[in-house]
Amino acid sequence: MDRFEAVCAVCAPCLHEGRTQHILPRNLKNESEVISEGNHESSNSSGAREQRSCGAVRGPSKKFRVWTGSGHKEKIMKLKHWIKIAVFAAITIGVLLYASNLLRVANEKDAVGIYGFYQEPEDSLDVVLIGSSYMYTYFYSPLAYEQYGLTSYALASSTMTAPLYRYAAEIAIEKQHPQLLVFETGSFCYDIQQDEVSLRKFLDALPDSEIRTRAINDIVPEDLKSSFLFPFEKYHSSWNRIGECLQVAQDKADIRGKGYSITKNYATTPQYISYSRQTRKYNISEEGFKYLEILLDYLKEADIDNVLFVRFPDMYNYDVQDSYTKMIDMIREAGFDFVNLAGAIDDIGIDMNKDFYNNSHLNIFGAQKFTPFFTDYIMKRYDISTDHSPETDAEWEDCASYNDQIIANMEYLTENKAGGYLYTQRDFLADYIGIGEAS
Amino acid sequence: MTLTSLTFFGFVAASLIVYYIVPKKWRYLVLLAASLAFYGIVCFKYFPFIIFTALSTWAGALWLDKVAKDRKALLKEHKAEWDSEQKKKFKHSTIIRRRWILALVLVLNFGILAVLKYYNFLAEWFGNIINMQLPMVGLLLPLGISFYTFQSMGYIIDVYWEKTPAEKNIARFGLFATFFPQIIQGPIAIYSELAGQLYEGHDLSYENIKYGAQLIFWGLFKKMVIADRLAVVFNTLFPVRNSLSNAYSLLLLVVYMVQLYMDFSGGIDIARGVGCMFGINMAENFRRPFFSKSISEFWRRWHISLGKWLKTYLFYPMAVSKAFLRLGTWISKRGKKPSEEIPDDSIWGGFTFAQHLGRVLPGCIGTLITFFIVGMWHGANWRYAGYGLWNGIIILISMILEPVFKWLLRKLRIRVDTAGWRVFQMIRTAILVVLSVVFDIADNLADGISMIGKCFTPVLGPTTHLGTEVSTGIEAADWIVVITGLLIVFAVSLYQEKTGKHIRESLSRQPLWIQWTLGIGCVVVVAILGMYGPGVASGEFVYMQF
Repeated sequence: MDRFEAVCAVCAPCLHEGRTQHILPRNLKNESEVISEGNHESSNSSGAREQRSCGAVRGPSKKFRVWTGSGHKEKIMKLKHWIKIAVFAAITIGVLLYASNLLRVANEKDAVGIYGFYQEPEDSLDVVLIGSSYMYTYFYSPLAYEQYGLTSYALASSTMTAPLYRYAAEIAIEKQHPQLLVFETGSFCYDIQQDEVSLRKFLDALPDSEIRTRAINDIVPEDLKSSFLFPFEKYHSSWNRIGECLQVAQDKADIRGKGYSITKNYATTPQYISYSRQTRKYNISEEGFKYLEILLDYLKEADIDNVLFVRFPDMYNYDVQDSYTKMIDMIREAGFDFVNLAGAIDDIGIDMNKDFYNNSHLNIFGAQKFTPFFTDYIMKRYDISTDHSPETDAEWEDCASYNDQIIANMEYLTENKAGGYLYTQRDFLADYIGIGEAS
Repeated sequence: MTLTSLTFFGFVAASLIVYYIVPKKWRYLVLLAASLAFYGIVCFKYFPFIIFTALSTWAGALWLDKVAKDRKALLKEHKAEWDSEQKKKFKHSTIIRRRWILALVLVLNFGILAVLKYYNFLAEWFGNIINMQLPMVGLLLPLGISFYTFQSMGYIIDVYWEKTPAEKNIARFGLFATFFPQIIQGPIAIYSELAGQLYEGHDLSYENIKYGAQLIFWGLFKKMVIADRLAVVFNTLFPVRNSLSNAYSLLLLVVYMVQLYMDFSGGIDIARGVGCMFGINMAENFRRPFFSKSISEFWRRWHISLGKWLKTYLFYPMAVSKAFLRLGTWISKRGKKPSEEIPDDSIWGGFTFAQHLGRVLPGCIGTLITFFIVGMWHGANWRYAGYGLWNGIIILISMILEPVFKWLLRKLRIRVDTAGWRVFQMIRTAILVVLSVVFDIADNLADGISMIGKCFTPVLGPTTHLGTEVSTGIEAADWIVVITGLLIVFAVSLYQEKTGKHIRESLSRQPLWIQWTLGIGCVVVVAILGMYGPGVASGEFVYMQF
């Protein structure tokens, strides 16, 4: 039953708004007993509340509550409401966190490659290779295992800059305690070391952790920090490449399902280019030295014995500057090793007209030559034990079992200059399986 | 700290917590502290201006009140001794005194607004006339000066008219003048409608929080998902506007108008949502303006609070002034007296033209002056005057020719009670409104007029006049978002227009899972599709500059 009379004779605001109704409980004599001025819209079904045009609602007066005898019920209702708000907020936050993780893809390949590193069983890797795309296009880890029994992983992202090395090393040590850490030195030559895209490819591929937060606070430019700390600020706009994000999520799910990555972050493009050597200066900037020094200090502090800095060969003819010699001196003075493989092209057996898919990256033919050469170098120089647990061996043998198929497919596609983009595990194991053999 | 920033919502959350923790009688002080803190954070440099307006208005109102009370007391005291002539004389002297007080406060405050907003423009304009370089002042406009000045001046006029008593408590009035959700872009509140709610300590209520949050997210949707995307299109097309084909010129105008509506109404929804969370019902500023069937109706639905302010404090006093009424009577008498009675269905609706003109002219002149001020309120440039006058002249023509239009409709046997006719009226109004924004975006008045002309040049195609393709600055996927967003806004508006209800009222009657799915969906849509983050120029509201 409606508890309210429907006559409003004196309320100026109601008249002003052209309203004819005003709330007034029947057994109360005047409106001041229920509400004071300013409330004048319509009653809701319970009659205990009054709603304003914006939706703002004012609770009933004490007198009204006494009149209805609903104090206790109201308390329960209030509690229910606050529980509702809390549950709603929790679900919303959950959905947003899921969306945030889904959309956080700076680079498809790096996101999956670094995720794969985190999925590797702890302390199962003998060697961790840290650096830019040189690492994952030159070194095919399952092949190194097949031929030498060495377990390794390229903790690398494309155009990885020097400031990230120190944190990548920390992650590698914390997760794997490898017997050898390998760093590629090309990254010290980059002019801009705090390039946003390069930083994002690595940092935004890392799971949220104390190391990631520290890295952001230490090396990310001030104006970008908030979007690194709260990546959703940046990646919410990735909705228009949702297909790519879903593919990354699928790739991660595949790795998670298997428990490890089959190709260990190896990637290449099925393409080859003819030799056209160009000259480049090999110069290290002050920034490069600064981050080299930070890395060396960290490695000394962490008491890591086996560290190898390496320069990989590519198509460029380098005009070596003094800074290059200074870099080598610094590395050696810190007690670590440096090897320049740029001059070892003939020893490795690289065919300059067939083994590169662009000026700085090897294709499958090149990787098949470089991987055993470099593994052999490592095995001879360092006393690395390849005794692994049966679980580790089982995992790696499974990975190596795909080698023949993958290599055959990639060789076939490379011969045919399929080209295009960077092929990763998804491509190696998808439609192309068997094509090489069939041909 | 703009209305769409996380900092702002953190600020609101902190203010809400403190507001509902302190005892009710002190709650208005929390709002005052929050408002002053907000203004200080956003615009500390110009803090003295808003403080001056608040203090001068408060003191002026008290002075006006005191004079009125003294007058009453003295009249009562000398009721027996004074004859009517003496009483009249005394009343007149107090009226003059009160008028001077009001004028002083108005001149001081509108003077500040005029100097800061219009001095450079007027100096340049006047300098050109007298062929002399007048000195310029290098002042920026304090945030929200047009809004808080109009709001405060409305209050003092109400006190002068004795429609509202003067507020004695400086803290209370200070809150009315500086209330933070509305300081950036309104709505411009009327004292009697807002002040009571501000001073009252409201109970924490689930419904207020829920409705407030709904309004905020609806506002964020309009602003961040639609308006900020269209801002990119506008910023892409605007610099090349002179070489655009007419199709793109029209697109530029439509985009700007829609952006303006989504931006402004979105901002107002956010402000009202915040107010709602404090239990405060702020005035509506938009009532689905694109359903208007005429320009005058459009202005009753668009920026309602400015229209209401100008109607109350400028148009009505002017239209009913003796001078205007005398003018109307004078014109009516100029016409030739008809020899016989004119039928009601005649071309001028039962009057001679002079009689008709005499009836409508005071209103027409008032309308023209009001719209000139509406235009100039938007900015210091003749193109804004053009914007106001465009609207004013259309209304003036429709007022004068109203009987002729009615006569024509009768003669042509056009039925005006059909949906088709209403839709035609809406489209016609929308076209006139879209064309009006030419003055808002053109470089000057002449440029604006030439842009309107260009829109009707019969060259179509997505190219410039130079033949090169023009990018709209956003991708196809963004256009899909914009169009879908606008369809949602249209559907909601249509529902409100047809039923007269808020969508949230219907929503609250739905099963919980529907409410939650829509609620979570809205939050997620804003979070994902909203334009914000590094490299995105977002958060600024178009109306902040006014």
